[in-house]
Amino acid sequence: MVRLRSENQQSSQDDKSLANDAYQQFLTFLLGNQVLGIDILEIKEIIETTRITRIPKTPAYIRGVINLRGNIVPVIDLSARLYQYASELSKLSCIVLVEVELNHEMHMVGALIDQVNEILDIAEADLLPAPDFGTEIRIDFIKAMGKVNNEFITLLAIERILSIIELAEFQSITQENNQQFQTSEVSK
Amino acid sequence: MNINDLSVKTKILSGAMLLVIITVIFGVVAQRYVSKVADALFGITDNNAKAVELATGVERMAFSTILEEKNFLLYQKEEAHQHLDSNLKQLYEYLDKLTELAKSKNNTRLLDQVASARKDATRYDNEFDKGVAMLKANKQMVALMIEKGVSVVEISEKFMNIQKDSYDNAMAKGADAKTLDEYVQRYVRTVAIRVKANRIIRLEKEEVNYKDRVAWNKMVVMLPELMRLYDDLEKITVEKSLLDLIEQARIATTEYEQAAQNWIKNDDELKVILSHMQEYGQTVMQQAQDAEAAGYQQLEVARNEAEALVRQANIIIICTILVSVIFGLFIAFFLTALITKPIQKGVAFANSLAEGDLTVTLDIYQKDEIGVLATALQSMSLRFKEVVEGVRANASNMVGASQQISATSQALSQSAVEQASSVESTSSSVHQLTASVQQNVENAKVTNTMASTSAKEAAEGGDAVKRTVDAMKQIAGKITLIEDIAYKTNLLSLNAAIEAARAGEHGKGFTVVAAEVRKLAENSRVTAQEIKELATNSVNIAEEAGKLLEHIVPNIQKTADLVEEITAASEEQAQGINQINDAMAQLDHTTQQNASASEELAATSEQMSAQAENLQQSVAFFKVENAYAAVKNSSKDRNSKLAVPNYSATMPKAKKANSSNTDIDLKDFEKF
Repeated sequence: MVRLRSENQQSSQDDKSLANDAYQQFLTFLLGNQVLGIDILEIKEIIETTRITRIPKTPAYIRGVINLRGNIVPVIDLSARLYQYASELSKLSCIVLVEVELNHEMHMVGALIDQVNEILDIAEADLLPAPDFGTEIRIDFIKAMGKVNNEFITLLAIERILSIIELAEFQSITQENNQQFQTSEVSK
Repeated sequence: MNINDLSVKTKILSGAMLLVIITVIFGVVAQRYVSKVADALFGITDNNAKAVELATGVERMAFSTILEEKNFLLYQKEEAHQHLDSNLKQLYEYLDKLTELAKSKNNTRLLDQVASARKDATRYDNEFDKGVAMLKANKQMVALMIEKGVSVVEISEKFMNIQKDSYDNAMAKGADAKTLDEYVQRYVRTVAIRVKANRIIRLEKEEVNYKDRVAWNKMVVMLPELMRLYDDLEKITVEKSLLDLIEQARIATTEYEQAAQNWIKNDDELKVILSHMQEYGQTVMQQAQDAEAAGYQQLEVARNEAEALVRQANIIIICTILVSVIFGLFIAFFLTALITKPIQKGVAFANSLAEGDLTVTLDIYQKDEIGVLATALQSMSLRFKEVVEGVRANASNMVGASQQISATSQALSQSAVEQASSVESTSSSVHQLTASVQQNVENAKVTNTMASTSAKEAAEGGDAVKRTVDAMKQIAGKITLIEDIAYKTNLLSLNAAIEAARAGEHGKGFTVVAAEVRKLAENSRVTAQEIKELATNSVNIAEEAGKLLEHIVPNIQKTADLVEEITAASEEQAQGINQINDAMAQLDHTTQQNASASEELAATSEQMSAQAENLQQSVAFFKVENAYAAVKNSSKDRNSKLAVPNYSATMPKAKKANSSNTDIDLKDFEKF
């Protein structure tokens, strides 16, 4: 079924791309029971969940830091950020790496999600603005509502969610940690 | 409340209580009269007899006082005077006591008498004192008189001696006759004086002794004559000394006369006093005697009263005794009748029961012990009736039953013969049974070997299943690895798609490739999942098969054991059948014995019927015909009740016989 549907979608997308050419690609994933989407162009990479080191004296939605090819990358628990409850780690849990701009420098930040689904092509005509009320998520965190097969998928404004201003205070920690990490790597 | 409802104890007790009450009333009446009589008697002793006694004492004292007075007068001893005083004192004491008694008894008459007696006694006492004084004075006077008389006589004698001496002197001197004559004359005169004086003294003694005034009258004449004699002597006397002597005699005589007159006077007064004393003494005695007489009179009256009281008391006591005796007899007879009548009834009832008459009834309807006894007797006779009827019914039943028994015993002998024939047929079929049992044993042995091989094979099958399960589990583990790989591939394809998207138009072809890769990954993941499901299902099935095989092994083992047991049992059966053969021979023997025993039974049953008839005859001693109708209703169902146990009593016997047979059979079976 899943396979069939994906094929259909693929074909429909192909049709749309031929007809209208104006579409965007979104990575859909599960957060709890909710299906959410992120613009594919904002994603740097998807990795499997590795060991996440907890950092003391940080807000609850900062899950900790990971070692990504020798770099310290903070990981934000998206569930905690959006729904105020921490997600449980499973075999299917993934970290979506996103680049965020701070002081004209790009910083890598990870978002912990429960499970990746697929990549969807949504026509721009099907992208609707977020409603003023009635959503669980803060309105400024929602980029748009994507209509797929007459169902709406919440598309997140990930750069806002991983807001650098809110995360700025965290930067020092990450830098310190980076240094320490690098020194420890070197010593190793 | 009916008197018959009281218990015998209460009846006797109440009778006794009535008697006691009568006795108590009698005692109270008697006691009252006795106390009255006692009062009368105490009145006699305390009041009247005492008064008499005291009065007698007074009289006695008065008598002895008078006696002592006479003694005193006669001897004039001080002792008698003292006695008299003590007597008087006692008399006063008696009088005091009498006064007290009279005061306490309010006897005014006696009081007056006592007062007058006391007055007289006091007077007597006074008079006696006066008399004593008089007597003393008289004594003095007598002494004076004697003194004076003696002095006169002495003087005269002196004078005479002087004259005689003078005469003798004159004679010696030879004086003249005249002078001598003068002396003689004087001497003669003096002798006359002396004689006179002596005569007067003698008269005086007489008077003092007799006190009859005869001597005194002579003395009164003689005393002046003596005086004259003095005068005569004086005339012829010249000498001064002699004249003095005469004068002395004269004075002495005058004094003597004076004393004598005084004595006479005193004596007269004394006489008066004595008469007074006699009078008073008499009065006192009279009073005492009067009091005595009055006391005696009162004693007589009191005695009469007491006698009357005693007579009255006697009459009342006798009456009470009579009444209580009559009451007691009445109560005794009443109680005796009350108690003995029903007992006699009961005795008659018991006697008739002893004679075997059960038709009589006992009509005592009381609630006391006798009533209880009567009801007990009644129920006893009722029970007897029931029992006798039951015995009768049973005897007749027994006759019928014994006949039935004889019939049954005949049937029994017949069936014993039949039994013998059937025993023979049974022994032949038992032989057949032996053969089939032998075959069973062989079949069971074969089955046993087959069962053990099956058990071994089943155990091997179980092991194979276990290995299969292990293999399946390994497969499932490998499939998980494939799943992981598929997941990673998916991630890679996603990353590739992301990279392609970044590359824009250049990456479009790569996007397609990534999508294809993702599809493959998806497909492999789904397939792996399906295989996994299949593997897990197979594992479950294999495990179930293993479990079933595990169950089968012990079952087959059990079957093998059971078959062995069957073999052993079949062998035992073969032995048992042999024993049955022996038993059959015994059974044959027993059957013949049964036949003879049943004949004996028939004879015994005839004897039994004869004895049952005897029993009926002996029970006929009890008469129940009249009561039969009355008791029929109750006895009917009792008969039925009695009849049922009668049959049941015979039934268990038959059952017993059967059960004993079955017992033997069971025993035989147990031995196999």
